[in-house]
Amino acid sequence: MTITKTGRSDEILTTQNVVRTAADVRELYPLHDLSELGKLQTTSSADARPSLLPEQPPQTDDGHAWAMVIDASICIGCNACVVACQAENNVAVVGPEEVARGRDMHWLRVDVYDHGSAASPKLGFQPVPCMHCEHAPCEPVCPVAASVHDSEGLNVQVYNRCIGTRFCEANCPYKVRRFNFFGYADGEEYANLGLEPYRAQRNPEVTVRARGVMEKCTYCVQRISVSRRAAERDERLIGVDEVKTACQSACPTSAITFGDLHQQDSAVNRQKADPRHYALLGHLGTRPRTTYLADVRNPAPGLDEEAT
Amino acid sequence: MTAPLLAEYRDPETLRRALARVKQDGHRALDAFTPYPLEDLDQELEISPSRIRYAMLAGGLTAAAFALGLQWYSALIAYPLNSGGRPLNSWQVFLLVPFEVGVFAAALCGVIAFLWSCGLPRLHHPLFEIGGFERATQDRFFLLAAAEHDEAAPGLRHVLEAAGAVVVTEVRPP
Amino acid sequence: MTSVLDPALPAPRRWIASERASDVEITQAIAEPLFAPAGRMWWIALLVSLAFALWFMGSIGWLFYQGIGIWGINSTTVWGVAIANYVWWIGIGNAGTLISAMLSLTRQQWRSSINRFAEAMTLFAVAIAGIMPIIHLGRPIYAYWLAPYPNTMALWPQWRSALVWDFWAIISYLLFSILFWYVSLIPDLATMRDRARNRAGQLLYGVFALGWRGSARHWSRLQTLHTTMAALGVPLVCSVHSIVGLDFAASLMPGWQESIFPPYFVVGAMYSGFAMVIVLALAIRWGFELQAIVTENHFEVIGRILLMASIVMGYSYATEWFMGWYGGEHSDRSLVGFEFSGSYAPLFWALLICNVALPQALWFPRVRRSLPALFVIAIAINIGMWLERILIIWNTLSHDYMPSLWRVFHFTFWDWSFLIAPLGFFAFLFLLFVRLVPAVSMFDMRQLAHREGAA
Repeated sequence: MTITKTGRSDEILTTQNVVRTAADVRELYPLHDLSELGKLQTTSSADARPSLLPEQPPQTDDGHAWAMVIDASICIGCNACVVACQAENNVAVVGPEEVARGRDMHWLRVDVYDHGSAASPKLGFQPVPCMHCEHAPCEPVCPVAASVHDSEGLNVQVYNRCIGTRFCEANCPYKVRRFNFFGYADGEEYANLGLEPYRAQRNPEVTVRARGVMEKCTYCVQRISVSRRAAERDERLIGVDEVKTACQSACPTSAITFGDLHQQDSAVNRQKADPRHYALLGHLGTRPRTTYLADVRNPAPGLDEEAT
Repeated sequence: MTAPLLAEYRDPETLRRALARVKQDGHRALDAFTPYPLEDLDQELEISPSRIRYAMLAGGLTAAAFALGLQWYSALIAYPLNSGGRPLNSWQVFLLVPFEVGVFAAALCGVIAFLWSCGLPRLHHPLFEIGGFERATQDRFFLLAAAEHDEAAPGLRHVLEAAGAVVVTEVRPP
Repeated sequence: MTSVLDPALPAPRRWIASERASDVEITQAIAEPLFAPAGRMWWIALLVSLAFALWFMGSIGWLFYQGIGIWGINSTTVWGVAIANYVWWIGIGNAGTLISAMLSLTRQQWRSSINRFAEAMTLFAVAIAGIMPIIHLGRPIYAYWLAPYPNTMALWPQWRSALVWDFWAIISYLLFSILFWYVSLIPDLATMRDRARNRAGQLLYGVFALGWRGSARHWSRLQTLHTTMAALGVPLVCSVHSIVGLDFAASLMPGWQESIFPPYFVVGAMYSGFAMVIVLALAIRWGFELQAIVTENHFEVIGRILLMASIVMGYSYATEWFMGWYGGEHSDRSLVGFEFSGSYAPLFWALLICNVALPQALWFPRVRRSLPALFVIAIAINIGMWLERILIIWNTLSHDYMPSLWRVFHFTFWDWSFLIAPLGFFAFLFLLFVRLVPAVSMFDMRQLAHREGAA
């Protein structure tokens, strides 16, 4: 293989910034010393702060309360979850021009935090899907109730009701919503190298979104539905940890756990009992259903920055 | 009552003097026509206070109550939704729309009541037949007065003219 | 054309700069130009503004065809020029209502000379503002879903959303403004009917004058109605701009979630609105030779209002910075730093110069009396206020809670189109208005002339 100069220069495209400002990293990517773990308090609820909103949601739930816990300490930042999500959920490919304009459609991203220094970066990874907040900021701002809560605690986006005000994304502290500025899947596709998009490339279980609507992570609601239908057919309840989201299935280190908070022995409940458990931006009172286990470091005594 | 007389004056002060004389002599001052509103002229002509404001209050409150009721019905009964864990009856923010709607409805009722109480729209009126009346909307001041009975009619005409009328015309119903 | 009313300088009276202004002279000065053929300047201005209006319509057509991806918005900076335009245009509308309603309630007689065209400005500005949130939508065809109506989906609007409040605020405000404007126009339409020299004019003005005769009963009812509407209009206009402020304040974002926003938006709207009144007053005064009716004293008092508003705006900005720091939230403090030194910092400094620094020149009476200086300051304020609105959107969305997704807005040709073309559309509507309807209220001016002792 030979490398030759083309004489052209192009912008290097990226969809994300590596977060390096120390104050931002402290705020968003907590880090514990292994030796300190024993001193941490267990906080299984996302946030214990008082709220003016009623404790019980307005509707009784249907027996399920879906939640996700992501362990930042074992995430290796491989992006397999992102690709799996894209394949599962018919997430459109937008092409380099759109990425250059700051538009991407991934429902899940892996944020990168550098808690080292410029000379010696120490990267930590934080996959960020929709938080499915119990007090979701995106919902009350939607004028047409396209962003609402369902009875199983999912924050759902009703595509055919959405009129595209984008207030939900503007008001989302986690910035996990994605907007179809063009018909990325609906008439204005990015044709890869001049080829038509493959036929039958799409998951028939998932709606293809039209131009002008907002979309976001659904906790793979179609997979929940498959399990529910199977359970109803067999006249049983959905089994413990039976539902696996696409990102969870794809994760090589099993950093993502998904399940039902109402099932006492579910994996998410075990994870939430971990002292490293925390809610991203929990102080905003959003009560996210997606929560995290903080990263852990175990610096060897005597090894300083230069040595690592 | 006899056919009313329409007297034309050059300025509001003359009109007011004529009006005072007409009333003093026991004639009936029916109306005045001026190119801009003269203060307290309605009281001097004993025009009853309007009830436009009551119509506005009633219309505004009704519309506001309807808007509040509609929100309450749609958010609590017709289609209750969990929106970000907010209470179904988020009455604090439900007050904003009724205010906006209420103010507009009050204004609309006011305009309708105004037109009703003025007998407008009425594109034609016998007064428009009288030569020179087009200056009532520009620079002349008109007084419409009637005598109680036929014998008093010449006296009224004299009073109007003596007060400085440019011209006095008899207004006949069409 | 020589003007009917000779401006006598120095003005013998405060609000009418003429030795004498009889009812006839006032009527002629205001009404006669409408019956004379339009001048060459008017035609040139109309054609130029028509080109802009067509550009605006064409841009909307292209937007509907292509989708809102033609703008510079992106996944995190999801709002842009359309929302800033909406806030700016509805802010422009503020002054017309305040001049007619608040100055009428507080018996500020000078409002008589400017209320008609200021209210027309309100109408057109609010109408243009009302277009913006619709074209802002990803699927504008479904904008009517914000209205409650029985539908097969059995769905209702989500009443907790500030956008639903906006929807009702714009509609109520626009319709209210039309009624308020029309009610005080009826007597002047009757004057036009009675002065019209051809059948078409008589019919046109006659129909809209509704048969007004200037009866004392009518005047009494009209004044009752107008005063009551004025008393409703002041809280209405304040609520409208408060709700516009709530579009941002009723959120969770740093730099938006601030309780100062509603009053700060009301004053900001008044600020840009009065600045626009200066621009339009200068144009009308020059175009119709109404130097005697819109006097230097009018500009002088508006200059004082602008000075007051600039101080309040400066105070509001300072409050934002202080609270951002004092609240102690990391994201709020970080945002204030970004405003002064981040990607949009040059625009932010420009906004502070336009809105806070430059208007301090109005402390000097010489500046308040210099029409060129006032014109420059008014234009600067209008630019500054647009920058303020776009920066409220850009700064927060480009520097929010998630540093990994901080992205900046990139202006496209279509952003420029939607910024500039509506100005031409507004000018087009305004040029039509001044040829069809008396731009100054004749009956108010007659009354003012009598009070001033000029008649």
